[in-house]
Amino acid sequence: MSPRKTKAIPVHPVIISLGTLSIAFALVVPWLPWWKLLWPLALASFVFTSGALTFLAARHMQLLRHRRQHPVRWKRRHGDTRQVPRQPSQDYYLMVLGSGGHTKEMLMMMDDGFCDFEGFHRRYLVSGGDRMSLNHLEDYEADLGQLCDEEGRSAGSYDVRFVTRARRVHQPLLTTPFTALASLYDIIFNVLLSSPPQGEPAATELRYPRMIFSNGPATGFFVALAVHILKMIYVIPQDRCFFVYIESWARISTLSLTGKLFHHTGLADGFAVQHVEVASIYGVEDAGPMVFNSRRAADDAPSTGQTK
Amino acid sequence: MEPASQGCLKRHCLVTVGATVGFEDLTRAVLRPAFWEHLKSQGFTALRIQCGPDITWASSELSSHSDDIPPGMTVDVFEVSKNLMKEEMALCKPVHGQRRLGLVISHAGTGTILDAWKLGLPIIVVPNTRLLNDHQTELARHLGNEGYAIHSSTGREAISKAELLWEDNKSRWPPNDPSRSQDADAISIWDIQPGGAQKEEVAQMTHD
Repeated sequence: MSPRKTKAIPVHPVIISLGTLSIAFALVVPWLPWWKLLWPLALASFVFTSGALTFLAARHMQLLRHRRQHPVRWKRRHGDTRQVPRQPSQDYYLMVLGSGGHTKEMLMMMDDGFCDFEGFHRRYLVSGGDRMSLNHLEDYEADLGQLCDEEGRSAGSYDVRFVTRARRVHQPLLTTPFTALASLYDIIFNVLLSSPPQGEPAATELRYPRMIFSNGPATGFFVALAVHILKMIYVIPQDRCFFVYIESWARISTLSLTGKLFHHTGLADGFAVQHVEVASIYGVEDAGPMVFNSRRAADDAPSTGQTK
Repeated sequence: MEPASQGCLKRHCLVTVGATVGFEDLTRAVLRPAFWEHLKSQGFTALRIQCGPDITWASSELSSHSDDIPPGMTVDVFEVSKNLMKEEMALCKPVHGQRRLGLVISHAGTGTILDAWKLGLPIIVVPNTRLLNDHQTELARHLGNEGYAIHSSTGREAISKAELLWEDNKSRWPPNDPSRSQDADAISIWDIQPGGAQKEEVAQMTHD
């Protein structure tokens, strides 16, 4: 366990000082004419705001530091670990789906034959209007259900949550801040803070997703931002919502814009790319071409069914 | 049921340019009777061309050459498909006694390429260099180098490469098959775990 280098901002003294100020106000206010209140009011607002900002800044730095010191572990398989049941299998993951290509890649990474999903809940985040991603994920879940039936295992459960698109194609920049905020609102309340449906083993621990995965769409960055803010104000505990960003396989030699944002802001608990060239340029983890973990239509052999 | 003799086996060639923008170079190249003749000579019985927004001029181009379509072969153009992989690519898969292994000629779209990989189909990738930032060329070249697909830089070249493919009897998936199901080094998304001893740290930080 690494020793913490700086102390966190203590929360209790802040609350006590604010409480004292409020009480002092309540006592003094009735005795003063309203125009004499302006000065103390302005002073109090200033103190409160700077206090809050200092607290948030310190908390932000603390989170970043903790994340840097505890990066996600990229466990490699030894032999076919798909067959080894995980103990316990109960878990709750959030998968951020973007436009067609990203969704396909994400589902291919997931579709590797692993079927030990007893008590496991998958939540998919889909942008409003993205019918294609919805179709693809439902195909994946149907295939998974079939595979798990064949193997005599449980496929767990899944649900889909839609969020307002942060910016539609060709949407004027003037209205973008509003849709971006609407998007953030949806992410926070419809996706992160909304527990998995009843009937799932949704014990208190499973209230928030434990792992969140994204592979390129800008929405992923908004999700990471939302998680960071909620962790800053202690809504989401430190041991939930680990954000893992895996750059798209199509990025052969550079990071995407979203990838660069993650790389520079340090908002992801885990960051990896799928090509060694990009890994060496940016000094990040090379997870290899994870898309090729996917099961194939003809998994026993490449198609040599031609009769020439 | 067709008799299982070579002559009656179907063989599909799918050309796809993507749904959002057209790819004039490739679409024109595959709408030429000379291309159809080559396909016919290799036993293809159907050519399906997904041409996106170019559907109007492509259809009229096709109609103007409808007399040149070789007998025993069909040529169709269509704008988009709801699920290209299931509806169109699947037709290129071999079925014993009915269909031979087909061919996909495609723009360098990640989704299409990965779909073709999943189905085990040979694919000729033609980057659409007119697109912004030209990210497609890089991907196509990488695929060619790694042996996942055949890279071709123009529509015309794609056609000649298709011929080479058949001449060398390489109409099966390239030897450098990137399937990682047996790879001992592969990372599975289900194995990625948070680092460090989380629970004790949390306890320490909140009780400050």
